[in-house]
Amino acid sequence: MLIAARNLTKFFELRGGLTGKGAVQAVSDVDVEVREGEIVGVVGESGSGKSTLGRLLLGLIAPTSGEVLFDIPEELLQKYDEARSANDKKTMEEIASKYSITRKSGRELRALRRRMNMMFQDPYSSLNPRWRVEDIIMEPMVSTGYLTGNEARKRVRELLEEVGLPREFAYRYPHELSGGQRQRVALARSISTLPSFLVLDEPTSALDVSAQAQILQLLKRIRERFRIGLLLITHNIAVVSYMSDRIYVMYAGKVVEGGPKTSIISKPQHPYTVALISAVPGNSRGPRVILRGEPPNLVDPPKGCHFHPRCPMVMDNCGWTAKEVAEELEFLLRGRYYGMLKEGSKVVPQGELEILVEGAKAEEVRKVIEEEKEEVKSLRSIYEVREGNGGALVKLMRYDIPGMYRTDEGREVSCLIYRKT
Amino acid sequence: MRLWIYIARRLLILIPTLVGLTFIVFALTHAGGNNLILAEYINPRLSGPAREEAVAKLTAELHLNQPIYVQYFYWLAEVLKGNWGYTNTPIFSGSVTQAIALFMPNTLSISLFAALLIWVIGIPLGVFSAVNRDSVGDNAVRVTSFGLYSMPIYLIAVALILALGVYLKVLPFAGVVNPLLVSNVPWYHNGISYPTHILLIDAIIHGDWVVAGNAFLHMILPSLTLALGVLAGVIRILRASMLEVLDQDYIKLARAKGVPERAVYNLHARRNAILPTVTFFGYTVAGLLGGAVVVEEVFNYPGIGYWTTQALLNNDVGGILGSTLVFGLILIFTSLILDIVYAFLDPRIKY
Amino acid sequence: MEYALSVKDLRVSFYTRRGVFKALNGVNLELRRGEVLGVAGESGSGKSTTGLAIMGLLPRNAKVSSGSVLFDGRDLLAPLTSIRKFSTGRNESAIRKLHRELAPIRGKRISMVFQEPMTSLNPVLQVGYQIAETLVIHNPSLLASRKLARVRATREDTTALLKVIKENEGSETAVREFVESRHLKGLEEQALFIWRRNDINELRKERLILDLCCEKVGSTTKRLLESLEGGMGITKAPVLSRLLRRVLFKEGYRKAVEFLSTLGVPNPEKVVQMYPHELSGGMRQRIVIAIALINNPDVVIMDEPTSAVDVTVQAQILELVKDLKRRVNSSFIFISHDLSVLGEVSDRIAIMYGGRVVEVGPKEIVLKAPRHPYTTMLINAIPTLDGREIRGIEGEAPDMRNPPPGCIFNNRCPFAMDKCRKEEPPSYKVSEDHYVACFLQGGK
Repeated sequence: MLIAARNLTKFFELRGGLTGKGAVQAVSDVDVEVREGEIVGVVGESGSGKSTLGRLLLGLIAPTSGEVLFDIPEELLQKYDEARSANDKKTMEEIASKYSITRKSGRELRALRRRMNMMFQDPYSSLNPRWRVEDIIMEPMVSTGYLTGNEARKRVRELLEEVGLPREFAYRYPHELSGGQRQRVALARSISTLPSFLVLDEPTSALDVSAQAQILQLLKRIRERFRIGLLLITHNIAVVSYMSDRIYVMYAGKVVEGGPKTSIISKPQHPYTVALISAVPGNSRGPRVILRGEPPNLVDPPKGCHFHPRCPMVMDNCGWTAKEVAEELEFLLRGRYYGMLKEGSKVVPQGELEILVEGAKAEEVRKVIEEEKEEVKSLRSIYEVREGNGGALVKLMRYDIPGMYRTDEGREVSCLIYRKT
Repeated sequence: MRLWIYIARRLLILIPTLVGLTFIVFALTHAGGNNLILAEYINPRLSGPAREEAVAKLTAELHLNQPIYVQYFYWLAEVLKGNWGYTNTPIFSGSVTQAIALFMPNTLSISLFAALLIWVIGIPLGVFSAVNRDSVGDNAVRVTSFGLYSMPIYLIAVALILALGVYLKVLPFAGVVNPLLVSNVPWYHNGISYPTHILLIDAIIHGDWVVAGNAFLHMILPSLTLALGVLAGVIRILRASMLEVLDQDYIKLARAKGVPERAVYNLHARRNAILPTVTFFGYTVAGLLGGAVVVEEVFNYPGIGYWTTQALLNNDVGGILGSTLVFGLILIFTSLILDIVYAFLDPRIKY
Repeated sequence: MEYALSVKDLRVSFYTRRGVFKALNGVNLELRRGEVLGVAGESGSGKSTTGLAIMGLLPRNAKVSSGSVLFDGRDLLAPLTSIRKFSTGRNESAIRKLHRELAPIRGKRISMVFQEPMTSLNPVLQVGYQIAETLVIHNPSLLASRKLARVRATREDTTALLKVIKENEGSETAVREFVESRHLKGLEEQALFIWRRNDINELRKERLILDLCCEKVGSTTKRLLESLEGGMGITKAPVLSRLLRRVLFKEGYRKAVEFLSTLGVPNPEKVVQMYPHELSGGMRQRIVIAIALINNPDVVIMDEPTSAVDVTVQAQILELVKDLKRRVNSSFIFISHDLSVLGEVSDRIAIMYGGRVVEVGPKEIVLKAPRHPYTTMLINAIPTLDGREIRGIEGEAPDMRNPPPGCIFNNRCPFAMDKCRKEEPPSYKVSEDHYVACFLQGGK
C-alpha cells in the first residue's frame, strides 16, 4: 500500500477570548488509502476537510491523532487493522513506529519529502513571481538533495517537455504565462523528484474548461508514465468521475462513502452522495434531490451523523439532540399551532436528550408530534412525552454514531441505513 | 451585550500595559541613582552629620535600601495614592498632580478643538479628493496636504503667526487671553481661572462674553497649527481608503440598484472608508500630544506641553516624569476608546 | 419582434498600463421578453464586460468606442459613446453623468446579481436596510400606501377582507378588487403574503390578517405619507425627510421579510436584522437576488450567480431561478462559464469568444448540435459524470491587446482557411433562431 491513513483526525484550536473557544474539527476519524499508480478522488464541498486531509497525508501539518502509514506492505497493514479491531495497542504502535510519517524526522523525513509532493489550486500564487520557471522547477530537486544544480538544470528541460511546454519557457517568469501554462509548470515542479505520491488540491478549479481538459489529460499521462499514486482533491464531481479509479466522498470532516468510481457514480448509497451527484447540473439520471440548508459549522458539528440535519432519509436515531428538536418544536408551536404555547412560555432544551415545553399539556404536545412527524423528521426521535416540571417533558431516544459499513465489493458507507443488525 | 464583554476584556488587557508604562517611568526615576532622588528632598545647605542623618532617615522613608522591585511597588502605591512627586519650574512649583490639574485643561481644550478641525475639514476633503480623483481640486488638495505633511510643526506655527498674526493682525498669537481684559476679574488670578481652569468655559460660566470671545480667538492659531500637521495624514488616508472602497463589489451593487451617487459616496462608501481612518486617529493623538509640546511653547500657551518644556529646561526631574506618565496614560486610554468605537462601527469585529 | 433589451455592435476596450485590451469586439445580443438568455464563455471572452456594460457599470478605464444598448427605446450608453478623444478624466465625468442618468432605471427596470455573494453586500449595513433601500429609492409610494392602508383600515375592513380571501381561496384578482373598492390599496400584498405562508396555521393567519388594521401614526407622518402616495416624491425638507425615511425604511423591512420568505429564506424576520458577515454564502446570494428582483424589473442580469457557492447550494439557487422564471415576468441574462449550469436554466444560449458572440441559438441546439468549431470543442472539453473522454482546446486564447485579423478563433481552429485569417465572419443564420459566426456555415 502506497499510503494509508488510519483514524486520522485534525482539530484546529481556535484562539481568542480568555478561555479559548474550542476547535474546528476539520478532519475527524478518517481512513483512506492510495495504492501505487492509482488515482483516488476526494470530493466534498468547501469546509468538508478535503484540503486538510491532503496536507495531513503529506505530513505538512501534524495530525491531532491517528496515523499516516507510508509504503507499508499489505500484510502489515492488514495486521495493523486486525490489531485495531482487537484494540491491541502494542502491535499497532509497533507497526506505526516504523511506517508512520508523523514519527519521522531529520534525514528520513527529507528522503520522504522527495517521494511525495503537492500541487495547489491557484496557479497565480503558488509560483514565486520573482523566480524564473527554471528556478521554480529546480528548487525541490536541489533542496531535497535529489540532484545537484547542473544535473537539475538539465532535468528541467526534460520535465518541460514532459508537461508539454517548449524548452525556452525555462527562462520565463510566471507572469508571462497563462493560467494553464503555469499549472503545467507547477506540475513539472511537483514531479521533478519522481515522487511516488502526489496530492493535487483543486488543480484545475481556477482554469477555464479548455485548459482544464488539457491539464487533466496531462495528469492521466503522467500517472501512466511514472506510476505515481495521485490523490485528487476537488469539489467538481465530474472531474473526479473522469479522472479517478476510486472515490472518497467527504462531508463535514468525515468520509461518508468510499469505493470504486463507476459504482459510486452510478449507484451512490449514502444520502449525501445521492444528493451531491444529483445536484451536478446537466445530470439527468434520477430525480434531483435538493438539500436544504448548508454544511454545518465545524466548531460544533451536529451530533451522531454530521449530515443528519439536512438528510432527506434521516431516521430517529441519526443524531437528533434536544437543541435541534426544541427549535423545531418551538417553531411549530409558535406558528402552525399558534396558541398552544402561552405568552412568555418557552421550549427549553434540558441536557442533550430532554426538552421542557413550559406550560403545555403533554396530551396536546403528543398530538402535535403525531401529526407533524411525517414532515418534521426531527420529531421522530421523541419517544415519550409526559407531564412534569410545570409543562410537558419531552424525551428523546439516544442517537447512534454511524461506523463504516461494507456494502458491495470494495465499498464502504458511513450511514446507519446500511448497518447490519 | 456582547459589546460589554468586549469592553471588559479590553480593560483587562489594559492592566499589563499600565504595569509596563509605570515600570518604565519608575525605571527612569531610578536611572540617576539614589542621590538624584534624595536631592529633591534634602536641603543642599546641610552638611556633616546632620546631612548624613537626614540621608539615612530619608533613605529608610523612601525605601531606597530595599531591592529595586520592592521599591517599584512602594513607588506604585504612592502614585496610586496621588503622590506623583514634586515639580519646580519658573511657571509652577508644587506637586505634580496639581500641575497636571492646572495645565491639562488648556492642552485638552486646544487638542480637542484641533481634533474637531481635523474631522470637520479632513473628512469632507478626503471624500472630495477621492470622488473627484485626478481633478484639479483633487490635485490641489493632494499637493497642499503633502506639503503640510512634510513641514515640521514649528514651521507651520511660525508661518501662521507671521501671516495671520503679524501681517494681517486678525488673530492673537501669545498666551490664553489679553491680560488687560482679565486684570480685574475676580475668578481669575495668577494666570489661572476658576473653577474649571479652562478660561473659555469659565468665562462663559461667569457670563463674561468679552473674555470668552478673546479666549476663543487665542485658541484658534495653536489649534489650527496642531490640526494642520495631522490633517494632511487624515486626508491622505481617507482618500486612499475611499478609493479602495469605491472599487468594491458592494459599491457596484449599490449603483446597480439605483442608489443616487451622493448616497453611494456618503452612505455606502464613507462608512466603510472611515474605519481605517479611525485607527489612524489613534496615531494622531500621539501626534497631537507631541505637537502640543512645540505649539504651546511657540504660542506661549500654558498647557502640559509648555510645562514639560519648562521642566526640561530646568532639570526638573519630577516634572519630566510626571508629564511622561500623563502622556502615556492619555495614549493608552485613547487607544482603548478608539478600539471600542471601532468595534461599534464595524459589525464584523468579533468580540 | 419586440425585445426587452438589445445590444448592438458593442465595442469596449480597457486602457491599462500594459496596453489597450480590446474586450468587446462587436457584440450583438437580443434579449426577448420573458426568456432566460444564457451567455457562456471562458475568462476573457467578454461575457462579464457585456453584463457590466448593459448596466453602465464599466470602470473608468473602459472606452466604449461604438455600439449601443437599446432599452425601452433609448440608448443607455449614449453618454459614453459620445466621447471622441479618450482620456480617463473625460471618461470619468461621462461615467458620472451616466450614473446620474441611469440611477432611476437601475434596480427598478434593470438590475444585476453579481458573482461574489461574499463581497457584494455592504458589510456595515443590515441586510434588511440594503433591501429596503431599493424600495425607498424606486417605489416609496408603494411603501406609503402599504403603511397608510393599515392606518386607514378598520377592524370591519379586515374582517371583510378575510372573508373575501377565504371565499375566493386566496385569488389575487378578487382580493385586489375588494381592496380597491375600499380604497385600501397596498393591503392586498400583505394579506396575501400572510395567507400563502405555510409555516403557521389558519388560526394564526386569520389573526394576522385581522390585525392589518387600526395602526396609529402621527399627523405629520400621515400627511407626509399621503403626499407621497399622491406621487409627490420624498420631501426635501430636512427634518421631515428624515422622519419620512424612517417610516419608509421600517415598512421596507416589512416588505423585505415578505419577499425573502418567498425566496425560501428561513426565519426572514431575523435575517433582515443581520449583517452580511453573519450569513452563509448561499443565503447572501438570495439576499442579492432579492435586491435585484424586489422591484419587478424588466431585465435581470445574473453574472455567475452560482460560481462561488458549493454544488448543493448551487442546486438550490438554480432551482430558485427556475422557479422565479415561472413566477415573475422579467427577462434574464444569465452569465456563466459553466455550460451545464446554463443548460439547466436557459431558453437560449449565446457562446462568446474573444469579445464576440460566435454562436447563439435555442439551448437544445447549441448544446446538442453546435455548429461553430469553438462551441463543439468547448463542449468536448467538459468532463461529465459518465466519464467520457474529453479533449482540450489546443493553443492559448489570443492576446486581446493585439487580436489576430479575421476570425478571432483562427489560431486555434482546426478548420481555419485563408479567408478566416483575413475577414471577420458575419453571423450566418443556419436554422430558425440559430446563428453562427463562421465561414464554414456560409459562403465559402
